[in-house]
Amino acid sequence: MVQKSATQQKVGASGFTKEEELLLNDFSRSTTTKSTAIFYANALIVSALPIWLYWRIHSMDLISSAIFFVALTAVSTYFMAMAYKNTKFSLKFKIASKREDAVTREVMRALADDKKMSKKEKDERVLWKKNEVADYESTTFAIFYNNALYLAIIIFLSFFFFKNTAPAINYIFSIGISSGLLALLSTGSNHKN
Amino acid sequence: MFKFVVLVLSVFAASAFGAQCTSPKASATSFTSSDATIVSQVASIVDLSFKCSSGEVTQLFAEVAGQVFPVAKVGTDKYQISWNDDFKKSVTGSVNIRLFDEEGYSSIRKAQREGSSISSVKSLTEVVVSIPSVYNGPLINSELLVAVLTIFVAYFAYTTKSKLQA
Repeated sequence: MVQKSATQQKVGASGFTKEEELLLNDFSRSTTTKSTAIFYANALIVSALPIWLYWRIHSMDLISSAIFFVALTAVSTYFMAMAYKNTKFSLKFKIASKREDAVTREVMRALADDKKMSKKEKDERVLWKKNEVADYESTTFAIFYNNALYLAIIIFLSFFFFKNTAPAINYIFSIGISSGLLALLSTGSNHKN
Repeated sequence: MFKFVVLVLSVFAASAFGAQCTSPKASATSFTSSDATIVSQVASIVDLSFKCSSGEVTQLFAEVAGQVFPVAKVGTDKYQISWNDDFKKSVTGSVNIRLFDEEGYSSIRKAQREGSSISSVKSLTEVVVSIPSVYNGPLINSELLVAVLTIFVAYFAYTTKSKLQA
């Protein structure tokens, strides 16, 4: 136990202890490799989906329009991943504070029998669990929220706003506008911290 | 002398135009294009079987909902009428087709010139055909339905986000 806390107290190259770095990491905008991978994979899937729409419904040729499809899918993937990341960041702490009581109750109930564990360690467990819950919920909700808005905007633009334009123009603008708009909106700091 | 001339003329006339058609019998089958999603006009074709018990007609005319068409002869006692209409104005349901010979047709023209109703002109016979109404596509088209559904989901996502951030 003593040994463990000694390693935790070891000061890193950045001038913070490992514990402090972990804490800072929780509050920073940077995401873990795992969640970045989830974001990019989801962004790629949702960005590639409209290809089907424009290929089958708007009758764009798959091969001759491949350059548009690849370029716009790449751009849209980047924007969507950015939107996910920003939305996640703006939601994470709100979710953490909203779920705090429930998480505390649940962790305390689970650890109620463990008499040996100190209060500090229990609090750490609560904090860690709360962070995990908030991280998971904000990640999944950010994906759901941005995908729902992205597809709704694309459907509206492609079938109504750009109804009478050429499919290639329709595609470029629908994808560009919807992913760009979501990336832009996600940067707005409408959360009151 | 005058009576004799009239008699001679009427004999010539009868031989030239054939005897007057008496108690004609007609039956009809019809086909109408009914998909208005791909075309803007509806075409209808009516196959007529027309026979006089005595006498004959050289040319038949048909009146369908106020419009008069010449009837094409396609075989012995077999005739055909076809027309097309803008699908918004096309006649549907049980449509009464009135048939006329040349005499009746000239009466129709006269009535049209005078501006009186052509329904008062006596027809040879009438047939009724059933013309189905056109299909204009589903009541709600798929893109509208998809748009409404996605907007609903997006609205749900937005309100949930607002609640989380409140």
